[in-house]
Amino acid sequence: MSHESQYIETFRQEAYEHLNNIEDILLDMEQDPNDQESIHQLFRAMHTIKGSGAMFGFDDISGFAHHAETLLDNVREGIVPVTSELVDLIFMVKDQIKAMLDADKTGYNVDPTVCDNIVAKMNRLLPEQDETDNGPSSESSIELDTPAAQDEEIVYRIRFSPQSDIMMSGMDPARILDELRDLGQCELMTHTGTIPTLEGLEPCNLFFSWDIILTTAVGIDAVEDVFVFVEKGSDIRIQILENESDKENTSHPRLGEILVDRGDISAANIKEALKQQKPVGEMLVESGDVSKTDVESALMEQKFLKKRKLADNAENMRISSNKLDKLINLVGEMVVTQAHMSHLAEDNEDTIFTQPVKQMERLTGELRKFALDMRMLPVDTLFGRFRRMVRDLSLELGKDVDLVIEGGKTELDKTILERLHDPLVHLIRNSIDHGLRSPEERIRNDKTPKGTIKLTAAHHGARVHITVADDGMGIDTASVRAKALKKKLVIESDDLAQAEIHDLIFMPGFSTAPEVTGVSGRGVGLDVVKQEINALGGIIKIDSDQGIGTSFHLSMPLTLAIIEGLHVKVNGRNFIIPVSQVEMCEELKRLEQDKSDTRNMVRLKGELIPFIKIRDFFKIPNGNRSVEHMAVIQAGHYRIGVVVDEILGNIQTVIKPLDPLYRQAEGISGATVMGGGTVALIIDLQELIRCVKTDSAKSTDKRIALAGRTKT
Amino acid sequence: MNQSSESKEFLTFRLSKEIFTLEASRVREVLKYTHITQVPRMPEYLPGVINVRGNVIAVINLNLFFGIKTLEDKKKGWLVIAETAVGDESMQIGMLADSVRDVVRLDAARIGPPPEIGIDIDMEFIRGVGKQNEEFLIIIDIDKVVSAVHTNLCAGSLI
Repeated sequence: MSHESQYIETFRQEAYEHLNNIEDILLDMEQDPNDQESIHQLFRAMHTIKGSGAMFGFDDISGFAHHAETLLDNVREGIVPVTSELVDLIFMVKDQIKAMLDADKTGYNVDPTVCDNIVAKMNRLLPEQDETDNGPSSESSIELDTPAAQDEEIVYRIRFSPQSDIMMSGMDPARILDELRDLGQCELMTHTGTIPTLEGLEPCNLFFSWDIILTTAVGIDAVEDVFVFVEKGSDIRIQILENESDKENTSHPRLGEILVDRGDISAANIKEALKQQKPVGEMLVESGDVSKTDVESALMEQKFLKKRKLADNAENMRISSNKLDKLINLVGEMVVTQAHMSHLAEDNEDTIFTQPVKQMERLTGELRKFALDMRMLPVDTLFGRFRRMVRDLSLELGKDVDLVIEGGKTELDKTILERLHDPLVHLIRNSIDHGLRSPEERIRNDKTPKGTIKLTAAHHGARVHITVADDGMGIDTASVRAKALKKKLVIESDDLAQAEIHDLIFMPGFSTAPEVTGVSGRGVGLDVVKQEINALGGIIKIDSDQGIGTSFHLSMPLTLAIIEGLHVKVNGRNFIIPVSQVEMCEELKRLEQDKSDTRNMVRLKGELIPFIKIRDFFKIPNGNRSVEHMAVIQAGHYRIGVVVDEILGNIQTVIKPLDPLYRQAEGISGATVMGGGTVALIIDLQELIRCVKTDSAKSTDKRIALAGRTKT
Repeated sequence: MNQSSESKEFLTFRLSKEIFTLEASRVREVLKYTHITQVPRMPEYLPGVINVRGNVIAVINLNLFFGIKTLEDKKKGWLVIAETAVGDESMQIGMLADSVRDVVRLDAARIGPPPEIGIDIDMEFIRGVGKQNEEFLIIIDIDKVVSAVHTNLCAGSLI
C-alpha cells in the first residue's frame, strides 16, 4: 500500500467512525431534542468530514457535507429548530455519505441526484439567505488548513505584555484571555513583577503581563486574530512550541533552554549558572538574571510539555486487523508447537530441558493472553449498530420500541463480534416482528404501549452471555406445535415439554411468520441463527413465557481462535470436547449401568443420565472395550454422558475452520492440529445431541430417550 | 518456441485405472500421501482431512465420487491440492492419486467435447477432452465436482 492510499484509508476509516458517531448522536437527539451538546457534536463531526474529505480529494463528499454543515450551523445558532424532519434529513445525509465512501471503494457510482435531492430538502429548512453562501467549492477550499488541525493539536507559547495604558483604549485584557480559553486548553502564568508600590500605583494602568501555553487545533492566524484589536504599544509574541508532527523528535526541553528560547536570558548566562551545582532556576533567580516568576512560568511550561509527552505515550495506534489475524495465527502455531515440546520434554525426562521448557510454557501462555486481548472489543461497537435498525424497523412496522443496552463495555473477540452481527439482527427483527405488537394491541394486553427490547452482555467465567429479551407476547406453544406437526417435524404422539416445543423453532424448515413481511420470514429461519452461533462455539437457548415475553440467551466463548479442549480417543482417533461444557469425567465400568432395558442410561449420584457412545454414533469399528470413560457434559437443556475409550486430559486447542464440504459433517464443529501434526476433530455437543435424537426418531424402536434434561 | 497463446498447461494424474486431467493453474501443490483424519458420517468419497502446514484441507476420492470402483484402500501415493470455491468461499481440496504424470501443454483448439460413450464420468463434471499420444485426457471440472458434493451434503443434512 502506498503512503497516499494509506492516508486515504485512514481518512475512510475515520469518516466511517464519524458517521457512526453521527448516527448515535442523532438517536440521542431523538430522545432529547434540546441537548445543545449533541448539536455541537454533530456539527463538529460533519465539519471534520467536510474538511478532511477536501484534503484527501473526496470533493463530492466534502461539498455535500458542506451543505449539511451549513444547516447544522443554523441549528447550532438556534435559527433552525430540531425537528424530526431535520433528524431524518441528517440520517439521510449520513447514509448518503456512507454510500459515497463505499462507492469510492467498490467503484460503483452513486446517483448524484440523491445528493441534490437531499441538499434541496436541507435548503428548504434554511432561512432565506444569499444563495452564494451555499456554494460548496468556495468555502471548502478556504478551510483546507483547518481540517488537519481538527485532530492535530498545536501548542503555542504566547507572551502578552500589554502596554500599561491599554485599558484607557477600552480594551479589557481579561476578555482576550477568555477568548484564548475558548480556542483551547490554556495554562496561564501572570507576571506581577512590575506592580509598583502603592504611591506609584496609577489606578487606570495595567501592570500585569502573561505567559500563556495554549493547546489548540486552530492555526496561528486564528490565534493572532484574538489580538487584532490590541494596539501596537503592547508586546505580543506568539510562537509554535510543538506540532503534532514533530512531537516524536523532541525530548523535554531543559529549563535553561526554555529561558534562553524565550529571550529571558542568554546562553552564556546559563552556562555560567550551570557551573554551580544548584537547581538552575534557583541560581538564576539568586543571581538576579531572571525574576522568580519567569522561572516559575518556564517551569510551568516544562511540566506541561512533560505531561503531554506522557499522555502521548499512552495513545493508541491503529493496526490493520489483517496483521492482527496473522499474529493470532502465529501465536496459535506457537502454542501448539510449545505443547508438543513440553510433551517431548516430559516423555524423555530430559532434565536439561525441563527448566527452559517450563519457562517457554509460561511465556507462550502470556503471549497468547496478550495477543488474544488485543482482539477484544467492547460489545457496544456491535450493539450500537442496532439502535438505528430498531428505530427504522419499528417505524416501518408501526410499533413503538425502546432498545435498552446493558453491559456494553463487556469485551469479546473481534471476529465473534463481527459474526454475531447477522444472528443478532435476525433475533432482534424476530422480536420486533413476532414478539412485540402494536401499541393498541399492547394496551389491550395490559402492557405499556411502548415495547422494550433489552440487549445485555455480561461475563460468565470464560464465556460471555448475551441476551436479547423482549416484553412481547411470548411464544405461542400451541401454534408452534401445530405448525411443527403440519411440517412433519414432530409426530402426534410426541410428548413434548415446553422447552422442547420452544426448541422446535430452531429446526430447519420451521418459520413461524404467518405471512412474509419483508422483515422476517424470508425463508431464512432461526435454524440459520443457531447454526452460526454453534459454528462460533456458542450455545443458544430460548426462554419464553406466553404473554410475558421471549428471551434468547447466547453463551459465547471469549475467543474463537483458541479454546481449552478435552482430548479424548476412540479407537486411536483423536477428538476434542470443549472443556467449558464438561462437568466431570468418570470410568464407565465403575458406574452402575442401567441395564434394565436397551436404553443407554447410567445412574450417577442417584440421577439417571443418558449417554452417547461416540464409537456407535461415529460408526467407528473395532468392538466395545472392557473399560470405557465418560465425560458428563452440559449442552443446552441437556446433561448427558459422552462415552469414549480414553480421556487424555486438557489441551490448548487452536481451532481451524473446516472447509464448506466437511463443515457439513454431523456433530463436528471444527478441527485442530495436534502437537504431532495429526488433525483432531472438535465435537459439537449440541449438534451431536440433535443428531442422536434424529437418528433415534428414525428408528423409533431403538429409541434413546433424553430424559436427563435439567431445569435451567 | 512458438506456442499458441491459446494453449494451456495441464496436470495429469492416475487413480487406480483412471487418468484425470486438471488445469495446471488450478493446482496449488502436489504432496506425498499423508495421514488422513477420517471425518465420521461422511460419504465414502470424502475420506477425511489432512494437515498442510497447519491448515486443515479436505480430501476427495474422485473415483468413488464418480462411482468408479477403486480396488484397494489407499495408504500411499499422492495428493493433488487444487484451488476451488463453494459459492463465494474459496477452499482447497486434495485429490487422491496413485501417481502424478507430466505437465502437458494442450492447444485450446484441440480440446473437444467429451465423446458420447466410453467414459464412466458424468458429462456434467467434464470440461472437455484433450488428446495426447493417442490417449484421451479427461479434463475435470473440479468446481462443479465440489459444488455437487456440497449440494448433496446440504440436501442430506436437511432430512
